[in-house]
Amino acid sequence: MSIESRHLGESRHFCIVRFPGTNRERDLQRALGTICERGSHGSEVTIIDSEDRAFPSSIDAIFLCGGFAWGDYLRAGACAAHARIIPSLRRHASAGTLIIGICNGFQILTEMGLLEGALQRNSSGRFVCRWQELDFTGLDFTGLDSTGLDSTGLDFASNGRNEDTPPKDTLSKRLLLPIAHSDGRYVAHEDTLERLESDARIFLRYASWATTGSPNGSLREIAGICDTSRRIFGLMPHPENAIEPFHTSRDGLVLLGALLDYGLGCEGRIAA
Amino acid sequence: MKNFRVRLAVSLRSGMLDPQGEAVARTLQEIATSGEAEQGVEQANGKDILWGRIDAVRVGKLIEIELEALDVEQARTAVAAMSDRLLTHPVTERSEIVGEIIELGAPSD
Repeated sequence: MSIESRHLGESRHFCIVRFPGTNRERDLQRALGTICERGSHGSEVTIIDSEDRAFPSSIDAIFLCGGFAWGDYLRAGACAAHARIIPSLRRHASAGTLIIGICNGFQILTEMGLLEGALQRNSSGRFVCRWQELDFTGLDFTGLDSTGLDSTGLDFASNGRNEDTPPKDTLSKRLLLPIAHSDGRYVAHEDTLERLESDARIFLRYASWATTGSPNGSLREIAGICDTSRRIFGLMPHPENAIEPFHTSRDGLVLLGALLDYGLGCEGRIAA
Repeated sequence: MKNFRVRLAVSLRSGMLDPQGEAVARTLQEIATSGEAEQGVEQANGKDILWGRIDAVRVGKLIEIELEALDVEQARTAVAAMSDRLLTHPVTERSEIVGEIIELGAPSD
């Protein structure tokens, strides 16, 4: 697998897939533009249709965003996982292209089998829409240098909301992000959960659930995981809606910025 | 080729939390304890009670497929393949063909 080294100022090309029923593609497009601008990157964010058969050439990352692709009929993401663009998406996955699935995108990635486990109806049986504290942790970010982090315009490690921010080398951070979903309860076999834990592939967990309650009943409070190659990420919250100064929180800059830095920042950053 | 109708019942595996089923169970229990059920029955057939305690309700899906196949066995095999490929999630759901596989109308050609 070869991942090109990226430098500050270099233009980036992202691609968002729009399925029938997708509804967050413009929010994400704007958010990605903002993040690149803050990092002094040029950017081009293309939205393509799920009925297309191929992605534009030379893209840095693919995003599957929020919504209700194909009405979430059968199961959330089930029909979308068989759309015309999917064979091409699988080829990109094998080739090591950075793929990030947000909310419905996470559900689609699990239905495709690119991420383990499944997202089931919230334990409350209700749609949950609220600001949620999450712990962004678990990924091995130790190779990440400050240049990569600075491209978000935020000091990821020291800007913590918490007094007890862990040391920089573990890079765990409490984030405030919006969640909005009916089917966000992460489930998987016990051995899968153990594997996710031991590989440090759970990078996002719901926090403060002892006081505010679990938003959806996810096993081990899982809100985001990645695959073994650390090129495919799925998460339930909506970082694209915590970006602008008028948003309640701007932690989406931190999360998306860090994932992009991790995925595109420099060579040799992928843990074995 | 002949036309067949196959019904596939998809339900959550046992042990999977089913919030929809729980909500329905609670509502049924509510109806029973509020006396609504007894009233309904009294009006209907004069008996005392329609149902007692509800232990569990599981809500699933019934998927009805009309398809072309050579015979009943091929129709069954085809629907099993559809179940594997799309209709049933291998981790969270189980499915079974329910009822008879019915041959429909005249052959197509």
